[in-house]
Amino acid sequence: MINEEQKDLLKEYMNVFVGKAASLLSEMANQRVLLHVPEVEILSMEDGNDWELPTDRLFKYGHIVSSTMKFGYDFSGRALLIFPASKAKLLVDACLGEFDTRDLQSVCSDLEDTDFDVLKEISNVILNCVIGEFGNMLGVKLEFSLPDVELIFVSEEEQKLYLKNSVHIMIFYTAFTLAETKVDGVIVIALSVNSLNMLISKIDALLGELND
Amino acid sequence: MKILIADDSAFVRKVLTKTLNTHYENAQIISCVNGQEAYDQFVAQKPDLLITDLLMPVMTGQELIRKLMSDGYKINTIVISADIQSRTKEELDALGIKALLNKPLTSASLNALVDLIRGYEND
Amino acid sequence: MTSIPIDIFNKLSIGLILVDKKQKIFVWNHWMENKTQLQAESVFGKQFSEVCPKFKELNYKKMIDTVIETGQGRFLSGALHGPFFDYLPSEAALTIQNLQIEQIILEDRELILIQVNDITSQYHTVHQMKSFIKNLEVENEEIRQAESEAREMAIHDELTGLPNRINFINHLKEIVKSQNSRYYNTAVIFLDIDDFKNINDTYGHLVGDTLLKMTAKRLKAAVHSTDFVARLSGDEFTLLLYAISSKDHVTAVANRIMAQFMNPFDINGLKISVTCSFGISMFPFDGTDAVSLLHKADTALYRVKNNKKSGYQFY
Repeated sequence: MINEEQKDLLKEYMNVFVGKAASLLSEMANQRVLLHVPEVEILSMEDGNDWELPTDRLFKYGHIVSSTMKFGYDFSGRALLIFPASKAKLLVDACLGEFDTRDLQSVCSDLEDTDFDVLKEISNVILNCVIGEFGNMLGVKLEFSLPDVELIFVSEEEQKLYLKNSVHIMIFYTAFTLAETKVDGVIVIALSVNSLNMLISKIDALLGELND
Repeated sequence: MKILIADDSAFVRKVLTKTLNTHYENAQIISCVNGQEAYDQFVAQKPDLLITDLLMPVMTGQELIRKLMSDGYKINTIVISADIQSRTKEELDALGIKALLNKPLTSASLNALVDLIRGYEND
Repeated sequence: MTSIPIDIFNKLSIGLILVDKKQKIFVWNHWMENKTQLQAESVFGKQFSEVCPKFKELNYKKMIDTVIETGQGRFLSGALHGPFFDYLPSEAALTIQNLQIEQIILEDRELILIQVNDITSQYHTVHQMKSFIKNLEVENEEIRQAESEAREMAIHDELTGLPNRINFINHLKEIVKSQNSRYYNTAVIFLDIDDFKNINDTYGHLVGDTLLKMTAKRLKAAVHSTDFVARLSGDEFTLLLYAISSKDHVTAVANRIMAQFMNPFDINGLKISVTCSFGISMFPFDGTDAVSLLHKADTALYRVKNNKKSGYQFY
């Protein structure tokens, strides 16, 4: 579907996009934030069935926090920001300015309703930035929804997230570093055929410029 | 002139190598994928100029610069990074780098890079 | 704008504000009126930042500008930003209002919709519940502790801290009933301090009490840490020695007990020498029920007393 060269360029652009998101997050958390995408994976489903995203590639089983946002018009799809619930609390505390030597194994009942609000805001900022930048790169205007934040328990038997009606999935393995703490997360962008084609065309155009 | 490039993105390494080779035919370009490799290569080859990213696996750009400086090397460094936070800029200023270019690399920023290097060549 | 169903706006339990691209207010619903005490007519045409001063700050200004430029929606959590509208400074930390800022198109105009969701009371109810539950848990724990302490006190002698008579009898009953091989061959020792009444009469009860406390310590020192030492009453003590391998084994311990009384007791400068006497019975050799074992140990003690000198005797 996409070759190494195209993947490299995509990864590089994504790093720039999350770099900007990191800057915004750093203002919120009032400390240094680094966002780095060392790895990209692209998965394709041939016949447009409901997608079962194998989360065991992403995390061991347990609680995860998932924020989903829809974006649309010419370039459309869904973007998800996912990370382990225990680390989610760290993210929230960093933004609230509460540093806690809390045990990283603490149960998810420690995430309060207001924590979910903060997570909603954090995902809103990051996903808006990333998708907005894709929009800029493609030269299209996008419409965005606000993210829905869920706490999901992924059991050993059932490590799947369901993504309806998506054909192509780009998985960006993202490492967030807040001050000295590292949180591994994933940004998943699910695209329709047309949207992926649009993206690939743009990538090819950019590569073409390079090879001139 | 020997130039050492460090970036974990194959795309960036390619773009930089191509640009530098185009403008400096006689330059020797050493390409590295992370900070550790860059350090080892720097010590072995002693390049005139270091062009590095910040976020790299194994050893970051900042760690690389610090290590070389504490080893006593005088280095000319240009940093190319997606990180635009002011804290980072302050950190780099304190490390005494020559210039900071932001990603993404556009033709404008590549031209700026070429001009910068021309400036050092003449020193 | 007459096509907009104003009634619905005014019935909502969230704040609803519509501003134009220049951020001038032209819809301000009842909820906002109630919250801020500002009537809709008085705010129409005003800049949003005038009624919400937080948005005068640069980074907040940028947020609305971004919504206008890009069409992206922005969510602001009260937990992170603090309250936006009408709160008492002293209650700022307690007020939670979430803001949602989005672009909408109405009759071909690009407008900004701002929703204000005040969750202060829900948040507090949840918090109160959690506090309440936590307090219940703490109280429960305290009660359990108190009960446990009371139980302990009921079966221990207050003066020496040793198990008391009831405790000892129950323990001995358990042992004779038990199938546990550890208890086979247990020695029961019934001990008292010779002429204790005299000491009390001569030196007074305070000294007597101290002597008893020190005796308890010395007895414990003579036996294994897993053996059982109890105070029955007055100057009467009992000991249970477990896992006895032979009569010689018991003799050795008995001698150790005697040795404990070789040195005088130093009480407030007074050096008081005492001796003890005790009788020994063996389970299961001398009996298989608690009462008869104790009785036999007591009988053995009686024989020691009759010989008019301190020491010990097997039944």
